[in-house]
Amino acid sequence: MSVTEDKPGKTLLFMGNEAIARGAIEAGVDFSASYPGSPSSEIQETLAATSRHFGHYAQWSVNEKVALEACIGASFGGMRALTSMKQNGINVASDILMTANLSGVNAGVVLVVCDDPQGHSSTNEMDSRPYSRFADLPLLEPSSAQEAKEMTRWAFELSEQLKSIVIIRSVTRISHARGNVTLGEIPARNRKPGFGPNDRYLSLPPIFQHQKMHKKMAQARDIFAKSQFNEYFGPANPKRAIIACGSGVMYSREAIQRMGLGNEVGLMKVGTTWPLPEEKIAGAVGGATEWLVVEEIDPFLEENLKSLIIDLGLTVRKVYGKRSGHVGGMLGPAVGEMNPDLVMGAIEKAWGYPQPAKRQIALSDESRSLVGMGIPYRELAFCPGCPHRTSFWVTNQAVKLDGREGIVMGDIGCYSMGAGRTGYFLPRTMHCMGSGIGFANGLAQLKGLNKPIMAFAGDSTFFHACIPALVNAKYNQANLTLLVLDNSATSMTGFQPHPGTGKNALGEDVEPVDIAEVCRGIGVPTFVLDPFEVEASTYGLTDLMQQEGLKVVIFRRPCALVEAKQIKKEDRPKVVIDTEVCVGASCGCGQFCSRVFGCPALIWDAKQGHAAIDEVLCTRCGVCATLCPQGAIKIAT
Amino acid sequence: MELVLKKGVTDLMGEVVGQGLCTVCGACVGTCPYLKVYRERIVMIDQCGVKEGQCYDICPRTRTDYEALNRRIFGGGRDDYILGTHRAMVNGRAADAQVRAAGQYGGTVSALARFALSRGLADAAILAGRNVKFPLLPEPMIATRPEQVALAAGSKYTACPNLSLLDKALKVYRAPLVVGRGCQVVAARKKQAVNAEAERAPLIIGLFCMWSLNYRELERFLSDRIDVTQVRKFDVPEGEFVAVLNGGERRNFPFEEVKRRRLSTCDLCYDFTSELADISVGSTELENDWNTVIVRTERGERFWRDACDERVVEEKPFRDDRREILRKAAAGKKGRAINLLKARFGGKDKDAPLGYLKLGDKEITGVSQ
Repeated sequence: MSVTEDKPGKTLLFMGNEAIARGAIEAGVDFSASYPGSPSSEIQETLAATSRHFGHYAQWSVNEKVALEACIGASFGGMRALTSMKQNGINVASDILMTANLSGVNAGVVLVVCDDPQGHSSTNEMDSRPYSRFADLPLLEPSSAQEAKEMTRWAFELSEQLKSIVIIRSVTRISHARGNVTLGEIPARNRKPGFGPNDRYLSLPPIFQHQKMHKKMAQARDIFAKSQFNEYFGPANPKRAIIACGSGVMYSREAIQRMGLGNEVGLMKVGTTWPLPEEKIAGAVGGATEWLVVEEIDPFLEENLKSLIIDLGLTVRKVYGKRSGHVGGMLGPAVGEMNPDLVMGAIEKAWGYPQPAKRQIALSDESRSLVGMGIPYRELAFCPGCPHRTSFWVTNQAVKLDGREGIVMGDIGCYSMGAGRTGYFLPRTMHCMGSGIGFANGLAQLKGLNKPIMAFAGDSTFFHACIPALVNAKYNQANLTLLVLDNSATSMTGFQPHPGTGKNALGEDVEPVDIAEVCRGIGVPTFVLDPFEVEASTYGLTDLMQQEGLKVVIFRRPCALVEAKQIKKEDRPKVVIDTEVCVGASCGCGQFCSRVFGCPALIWDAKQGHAAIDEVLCTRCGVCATLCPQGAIKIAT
Repeated sequence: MELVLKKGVTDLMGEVVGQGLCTVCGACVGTCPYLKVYRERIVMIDQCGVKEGQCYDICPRTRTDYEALNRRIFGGGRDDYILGTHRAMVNGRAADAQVRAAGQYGGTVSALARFALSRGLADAAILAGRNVKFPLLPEPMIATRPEQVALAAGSKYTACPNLSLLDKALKVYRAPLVVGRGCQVVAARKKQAVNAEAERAPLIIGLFCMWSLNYRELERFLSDRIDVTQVRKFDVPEGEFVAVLNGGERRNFPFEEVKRRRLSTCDLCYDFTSELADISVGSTELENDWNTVIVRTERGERFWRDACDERVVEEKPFRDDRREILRKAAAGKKGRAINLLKARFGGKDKDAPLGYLKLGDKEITGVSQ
């Protein structure tokens, strides 16, 4: 693995997340703990994969709060620690942030948050940066893979200097893009853990610790003023300047270059976005009359810069950005991802510079004219052979059979996609990890609603945030059913192990935590169904649904992608269509298989008028053969 | 053809299930992957997207043209407007005392089903079996060996959706025999009219049926009073409702108390004696170890004769006085149903003055005589 290469000065192509991990390694990180979540997962995966090589510790934690607390704990014990998470994760971890900021830390603690502008793989499009201002923690925003590595390495030093957690904010296009990274030295790891008899880390008394925290921020401001991560490009004393951070820096550089404004418009790159490097900004672009601010998601930098104008008495008259509406996409400012075109559009709108002619994308036009359409819309869908599809199918049927309009809450994981057609539109909510059973705790107490209340939770989600809610349901006698979709993997984020899988982050065998035993231990009747036994599970679940009281139903069946790694598809019998038996669109079927069940491998041959199997996609799970009302789908013998 | 109604599942759900007219015969469920039955309720899981379907044609509560069905089955008009076309009427019973003891009254249906399976006339029999999970809720079953028939012996008095297995049986078996209530016999006949495959049913045995009880209400009523898991069969002797328990113990309940827990759709039923069956079987209301047997079709008659000749069943002549009592009961049910149907549907649609029933004037006057 290239991340392990010990050749200082050598340049390699790294994914942003690998660069962050490498930065931690170059800082001699001792400890890492994280919960997976796109676009952050590869950071911890890289640290776990290099753990044996470098001797640092790595774990997958059950959730982000535990992960951050574990890191802070390691820091109290004198060891450098890093946790990485997606933007939703910092919400989970936020509780400890608001006291660990007061107590401070010992060895360096770096918290990497990878935001997901555009919400490519998230339930929200949250900007995590206000947490830095909120919790008074220094914030760094890398603009390239190289900088991601350098910032991470430096963040540990900064953390130790200030005795404060340091936050690094990445975004999808930094974390998941690849760029050249020149390697630095890997230090000898010589820290020894220790916890002295008089070492204490308290947030008490709050007011004095609060005062101390503000002093740290003042200190950070001084340090940032000298930081190389803040840099000015362009003419001296420009009248017009762009101030950008994160991925906005590259977009702005490209826009300035393509519009030929290098001699007119300045670019202030801010890498330390909280607290702001005030003097540095004032010195480079403080004399400008107009600023244009480029950043991802919310006008965080923009608003802080506006405060700066007042505080420093600058003569800037106008700040263009998301507030003014100049920087924004089709859906308006502060929605969706930035890109160079949006920056050029903003420059044109704000300052009237003409944009270069639109690039002709000849091949795209040609392919469109050949096909007669653009790229077809691809619906979110469960994979072929996915047990979730069948669990949703079973639950959907059970709700209908029960006939009381049962309500199913959704949760976070692959099965979030089930809120769409692939899951028969079954989940009625989808918010954050554990929220499904949380909502169910409320709905289940409403007398007179008279509808069965259910909540989905994946196996990893169960460990992450469902257990307190299940205890709450037991304690308060909530009449609800928790449906655990146990596919033995954290699939959505890339098959990381979790406590139920029997493997740890290093791939070592550990005693698995049995979800059924956890539930039974809480005192909740728990039943295990196999979603591939469609008929038995459907009626089994319906019967259970008709019984009063709290219960847990576990749909247990490994993720098709995990199973594909263990059992070769070729070792299973083929699924075939008996075209003589298939009745097609006539009464009695109405393309039940391809139209209703919706497995991507089950297709409709419109020319021949019968069902067909897409051999490339089919996992040969055989579920469709049990569903075909005509018995036309068969397992080959 | 009159028997193809050009309507589909949406109409079925609206006109029949939605109106509380469903008899839980199961016929529509068997035809269709979108329909299911759970604890006496028909449920549409998804839209099939087909406008016209068999499900509507074969429902006993969609337009049912008794005259047309009679012509198909008997080759002519109805010769008896009260008891339906028939060739013979006898008292019959299983020759085997063990079969009698397990079955209802004379155990004739069990004996006939066993006979059909053992002689290869049928290679499957669709029957009302027991449900392990819900003891009062019968579950349709397919018997393929004579000894399996015992699993279905005894009257259930709640609606068993036997016909939900008909299509499955037709796919797997050559000649599945059907046993059902009057509504189920009608459904099976309507199915034969629109689907030639169903003609492979070698014999349709109909049960006399005044009404089926609402399973949920019956369970609520009985579970406070007895251990419902121990009920083997029910019986309705004069003025009483009897649950026969596994140990043989009989527990009596006031008849009216139980009767008012019947399915409301049964009050609209015109067909007490399963008039379209090959052979109809019921109680004698008199002798506990005999049944009333009405032999209707030529096929039914041949089968009955064979069963008698092989000494599988015994028969004795049907008494004239009992015949009048049976006629009175059947006519009474028809009259009540017609009056209710007139009150509920009369006048709205001149082609359907009686809701689902399409009857000639003769039939109505025949009943009122």
